[in-house]
Amino acid sequence: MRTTFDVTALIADPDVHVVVTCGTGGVGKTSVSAAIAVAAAESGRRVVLITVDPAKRLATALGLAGLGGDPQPVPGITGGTLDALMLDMTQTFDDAVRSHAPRNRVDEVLRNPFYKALSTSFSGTQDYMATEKLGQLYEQSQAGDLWDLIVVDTPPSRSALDFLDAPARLDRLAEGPVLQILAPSSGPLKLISAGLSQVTRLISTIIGSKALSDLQVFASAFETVITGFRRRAAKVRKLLASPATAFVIVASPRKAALDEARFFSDQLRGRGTTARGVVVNRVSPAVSLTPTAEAQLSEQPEAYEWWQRSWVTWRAQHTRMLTALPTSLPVTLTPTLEREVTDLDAVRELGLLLGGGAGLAEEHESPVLDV
Amino acid sequence: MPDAAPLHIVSGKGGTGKTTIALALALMLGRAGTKTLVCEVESRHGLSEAAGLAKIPDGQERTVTLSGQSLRMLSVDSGHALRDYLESHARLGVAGTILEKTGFVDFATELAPGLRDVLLTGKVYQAARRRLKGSPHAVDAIVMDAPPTGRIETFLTAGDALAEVMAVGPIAPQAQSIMELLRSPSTKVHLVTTLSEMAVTETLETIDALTRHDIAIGHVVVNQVAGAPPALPANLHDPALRSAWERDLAVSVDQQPWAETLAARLAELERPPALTVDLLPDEVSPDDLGRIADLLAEGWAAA
Repeated sequence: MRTTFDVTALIADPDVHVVVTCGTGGVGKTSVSAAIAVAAAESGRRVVLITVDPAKRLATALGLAGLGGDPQPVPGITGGTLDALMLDMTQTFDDAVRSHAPRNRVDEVLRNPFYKALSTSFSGTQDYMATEKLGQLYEQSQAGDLWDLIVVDTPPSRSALDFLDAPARLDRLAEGPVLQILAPSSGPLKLISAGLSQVTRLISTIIGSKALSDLQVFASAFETVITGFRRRAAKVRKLLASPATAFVIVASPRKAALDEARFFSDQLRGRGTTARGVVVNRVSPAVSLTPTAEAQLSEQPEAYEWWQRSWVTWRAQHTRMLTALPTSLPVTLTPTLEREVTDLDAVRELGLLLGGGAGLAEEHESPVLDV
Repeated sequence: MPDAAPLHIVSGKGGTGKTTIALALALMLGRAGTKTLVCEVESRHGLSEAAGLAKIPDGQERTVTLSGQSLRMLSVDSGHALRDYLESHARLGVAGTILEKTGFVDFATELAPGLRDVLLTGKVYQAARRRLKGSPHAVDAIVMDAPPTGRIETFLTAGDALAEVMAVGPIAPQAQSIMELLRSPSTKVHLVTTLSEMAVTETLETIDALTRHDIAIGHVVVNQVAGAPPALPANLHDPALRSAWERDLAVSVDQQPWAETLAARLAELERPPALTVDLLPDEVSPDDLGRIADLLAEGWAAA
């Protein structure tokens, strides 16, 4: 038997102050994050959940039906407390500009066409903003002693690494020559002006002079904002690398999701952190037949085929999990729920399944574990 | 003079199987004798992986054989697209290298609003117009495995946004030509969904959003439809087996209302009914793709 990922122990661990759930789209990451947050709150902790894009009915269940950019108490929680918020990219970005930019430049930044496009449509913005929001909440939780656990549902992206890399990308952007070329006044860059103007001329040829001047205004104002961002991002980076943060990988029994789980676990290790465990969500374990059941089932060929199909599928998934997941990574299997996770009871049910901790049996340990 | 090749854009909520459906659609077109190019836009080799083929390097195009059918497969990448653009369209040549060295290429593709998306659709635009230029690699249909529904509106209308921000200069007219192709009657967005609240809601919202932008919707494909399991023998009382059976039944019952919601709304919009593909127990094999292509072909002909 591989080490079983004990979600209940994770929730009870007083040294863990941040749980980050990562995984590819379509594996139920948002539901798992909600389940961890609710279970932790009902075990007595004071929890805040940052969620990204919950289904409408789940959002309603979490008290996020209206504008949920700020933490709102989730109704119906017993034991501890749970606040939840939805990551509002534009609002978080605007707030950050207001707090980081010099007062006299705030409006200029907020009105700039590049800023507007960046804050609403740039696909990587969500990752920066999730980092920013986590930093804000962590500072608040330390200052006001409001929460002792932050659960972060990371934004859907091509790779779970995008979230983790957001602070470093911000550094590259700030230190890279582009901002300094576009906003040379404040940068330490001592480029020969001829070379500099050659580059800006080139950019102007491509994007036009109006866009270039907009971009320059944006870049010079943004330089000041980015300094504030980076200060917070640096803190978040430290927080994510510290033992106070636990990474939970969410996967499904599909090959692509398992490969991503392995990739992410390896990447974390490369950075000196380890994933606390992986939740393989939506498994449909088949049951082994007793001789009586087999005899009875054989009388109805269609029913027998149904069982056989689910058995073959489960065996294939089981083998795939053993192959794809590193042996050192604790695993818990969560069976497919009978309904969508759209109300608090379903969230609790998922939490119970997570806490129930069905592990992954090795191939030789037959019969295959019934979840 | 021929028109640009028809463009089939396949989107859907993450996890609904849009890559599978895109491949099956390309297979369906190929089998009908249409020279078809299937392309992905930064989905990290999702197409080749789903097809069980060797990875196609970023920015490259290959002829592949899928379930006995020959297809062209292209992996579009924004970095390559921008370099190509700087070399050919902007006729910058060596100057382009300067921009790359200063980090402008990374900056532009990572940060400039909408530029990445326009570069990606721009590559597909070029591929669709190969017929007009008598290119040896001309194709008669293109299937694009597009970003998921959460991002598809921004993705497909990035050209509008970019043309607005960069009103002066060469980019605006180029972005506008791309938008013209996306709005032409030969371009259709097909939406893949499963029968769950989020997927159906997103699908219906996407239909409304794209319609507002005058981008035509093609078919809605309902994927992973779970049928009810066959009845168990009455004398079978094995509790574990019974509960597994009940779970399968519940999954199928849970899907029903969403099938009804979707059907009702499509009828209201006077759209053809959705095509349905049943739930595969596990990973999609090339044989499965062939079977899904057959399923799609039936519905395509009927609608």
